[in-house]
Amino acid sequence: MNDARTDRSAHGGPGRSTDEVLAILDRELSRTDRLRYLTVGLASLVVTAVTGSLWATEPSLPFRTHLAFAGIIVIGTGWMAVAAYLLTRRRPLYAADRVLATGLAVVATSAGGLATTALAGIRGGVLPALTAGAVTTAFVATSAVLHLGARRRRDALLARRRGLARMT
Amino acid sequence: MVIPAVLHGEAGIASWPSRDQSTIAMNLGASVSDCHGDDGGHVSTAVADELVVVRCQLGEREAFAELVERWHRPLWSFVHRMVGDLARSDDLTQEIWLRVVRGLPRLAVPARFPAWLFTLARRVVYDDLRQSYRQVDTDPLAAAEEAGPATEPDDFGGLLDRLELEDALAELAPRDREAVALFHLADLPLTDVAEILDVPPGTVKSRLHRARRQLSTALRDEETDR
Repeated sequence: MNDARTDRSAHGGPGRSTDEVLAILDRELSRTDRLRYLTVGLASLVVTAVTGSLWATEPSLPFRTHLAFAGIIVIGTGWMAVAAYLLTRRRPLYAADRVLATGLAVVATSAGGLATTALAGIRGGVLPALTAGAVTTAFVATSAVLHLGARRRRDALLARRRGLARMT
Repeated sequence: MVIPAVLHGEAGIASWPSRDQSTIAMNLGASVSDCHGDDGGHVSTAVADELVVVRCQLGEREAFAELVERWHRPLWSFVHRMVGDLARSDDLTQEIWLRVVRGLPRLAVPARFPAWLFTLARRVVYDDLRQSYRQVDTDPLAAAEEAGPATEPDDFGGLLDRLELEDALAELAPRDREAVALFHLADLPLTDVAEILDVPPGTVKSRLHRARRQLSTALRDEETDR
């Protein structure tokens, strides 16, 4: 270490080479981490929605079951918040990742929403099914809007890359 | 009290990213508007720089290697110019890179990357200096100016003290040195420097003018002493 520092002082450059910096940044750039957090967030969303639907459509539940459903919803919401924080602040999604993530969000909200709506229809009747359907539509629409925005951003960057590549 | 390294400025001339000592010395005699002209080389460098940033924003891992390769040394030099200490410069530069990786997807205009990068760097350096000065509840650069020049260079200072221009730069007021570091050493356009320092371009010009005059005088004095 001292030798390295002495060598560095002689040439007056950074103590860490670009390779060392990249090794440090490697974890920050890990796509696996991003996909893991995304999966956690989407799974939490689906579990929370299905549990909420069950809770809302079950006419008579013991007190303990109420508590259990409430607990699951609180924990699910907490994990969604953690995933959202990590994906926006700690491991932000780059353009290509964002397209993939929002695409998965559309799939997950559609599948989870259909399941929730079906469950509400079977167990609760028309009104709960309509309510679940409206909530599902809102989630799917939000995901779709985010997906379109992500695609637009990626396409704009791709077009810019092509333009710049022609100029070099 | 340990004098903060903002006043040391013992980064070697060898660490300067794109201009050697003679080039900088020549530029010291030129007006600000003479520097960073819209020559073809500068434009193509800017295009290549933006292309790397765009590729990074798309999520290309290989592009990050190019981004770090391109900016690590100028970034480290700027940080080192401001904080002086070698180990702190390394740590702060690493912290800045982490913030770059986390913040890059939110950068709206890729062409603004150099200004964004050095604004980020400046914020990290200020935070670090502020911590150093937390007993003195004041602006870190103003406090550094009041403290006067460093009297005790670090272990490597002796090696670098032989470089006259380096010595002269270390004598500059921190605000002037900051402008010189960004404009002459990091090779940024005047508008970018003004944006990073959050002052009008005219203020940058006057800081550079004052710095150049002081450096010219210092270098002339060195010549006379020989």
